Parts: sequence; structure tokens; C-alpha cells
Amino acid sequence: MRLTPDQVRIILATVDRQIGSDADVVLFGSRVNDDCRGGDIDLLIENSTLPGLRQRASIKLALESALQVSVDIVAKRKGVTPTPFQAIALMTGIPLRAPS
Amino acid sequence: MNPALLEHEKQHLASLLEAVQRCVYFLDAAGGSVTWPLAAQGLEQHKKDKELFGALAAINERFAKLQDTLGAAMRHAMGLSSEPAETFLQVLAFFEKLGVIASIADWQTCRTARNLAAHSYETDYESIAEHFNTLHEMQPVLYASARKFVSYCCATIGISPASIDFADDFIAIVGGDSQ
Repeated sequence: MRLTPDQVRIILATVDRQIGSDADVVLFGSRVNDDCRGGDIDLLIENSTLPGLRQRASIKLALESALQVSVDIVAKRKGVTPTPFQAIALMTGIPLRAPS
Repeated sequence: MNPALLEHEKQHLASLLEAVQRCVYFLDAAGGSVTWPLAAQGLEQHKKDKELFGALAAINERFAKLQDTLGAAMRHAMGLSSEPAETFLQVLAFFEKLGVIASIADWQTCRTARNLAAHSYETDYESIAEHFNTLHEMQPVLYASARKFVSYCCATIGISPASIDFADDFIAIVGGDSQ
């Protein structure tokens, strides 16, 4: 994947602050492909309660400010059947947090 | 500034103020036809309700229009006040200091929140309900900014909305005594 350890640390710290450390964070889209260059950072955030619009907006703003790159966020509630788009993100994405 | 140009600048701000009042009026009207808060189950049960989804689409559009119009008017008002405003962040900082907007962070969260939903293409009723409930919760924040901004323009730079067509409705919705 094309994220530096520092970028991963910033992403997780931001999600922890806004939602909590139980939230799973999956990188998907072009950033999982090592052969591509540049591109937005696409994140799927999964939590026991659906991450709210304000939380997602705050995470997006904080990450775009810290990383200086466009960030897109998809939110999903744990235990709910993923939509087709979420399923693609989950199947092709890379979890950023080590399994507990 | 050339007097004729200055007059046009003032008239433009007056028309922007009227547009702000108009946006509040129509946003309020769209929200008034919806029973709050929305629930995913209710939306799913009414998935073919043209009136309901028409109102929701209108809320999305008018919420964005209100914030953008207010932003354009704030930038223009700063120019007329001879305040330096090279970036929009400076405009926000100026009006935050005056208490017209609650905070720069709130303004940006509002803007990002509404844009996030505009880029969601799937039909997930839980997300749709959460999105519109959040916009509905944020509405009073925008209304308060609209009220304080119209008051600021009247009191500080002597410019009122271009017409009184929406004035009474605006006051009834946002409260206060703005013209």
C-alpha cells in the first residue's frame, strides 16, 4: 500500500480521537495499489455505531489538513450487511489496524 | 473606489443579503414538510414517496446554497469594510471574531458534512436518515449566522437586503430583529 507509517499513525490517531480505538479502518481504492501514483486516500471506517456525518466531516478535515491530500470516507456499522460498494472496499482493502 | 463602482458593490451586497433571506425561507419550508427526526425504517417504508424525497433533495440543495451565499456575502462585505481578505479563511476569521459565525471549525464541518453526503451514491437508508438529521441539527447554526450577518451589515456598513419581500419571514424563522 502507498501510505507511510507516519500517515497510518496520523489516520489512526485521528479516528481514535473522533470515534474511538474500537473502530476498524480499512484503506481501499488506488492507494492499495503499489503501481499507481498519487491519488486520494479512501478509507472505510467501521464501528459498532455508525460513524456520524459530523464525525466523518471532522476526520476528513483533520486528515486533509495533516496529510495535504484529499481524503474520502465511507462509514459502516459493524454487524450490518455491507452495501456492494462497502463489500468491494472490504474485500480489496487493507486494514490499517493490527487485529486485536 | 470609484463612486459608481462603490454603489454597484453596495447593491450587490444588498442583493446577496436578500438571497440569504430567501435561502433561509426556502430551506425552512423544505424542512417544515418533513417529520423529524428521520428513521431508516420510515424512509425505507416510504421509499417511493415523491414528496418526501423531493423535500429531502431540496434541503440538501438549499442548505448548501444558504451556506455558499452567506460565504459570498461575507467576503463581499469585508471588501466593502476595507478589511483585507485574500483568502476565505481570513473572511471566516474576521466574522468569527465578530461572533457572526460560531467558529471556523463549525463552518468548515458544516461545509464538509454536506459535501460528504453529496458524494454518497448508494441507497443506504440508515446513512440517508443520519445525514438529513445532522443537516437539520446544523440548520440553527447557519440561521444564527445569517441573522447576525444581516444585522452586522445593517448596523455596521449601513446595507440592508435589496427588498423587504422576505424580511418578515426571515425574522420569524431566525428570530431577532434583522431587517
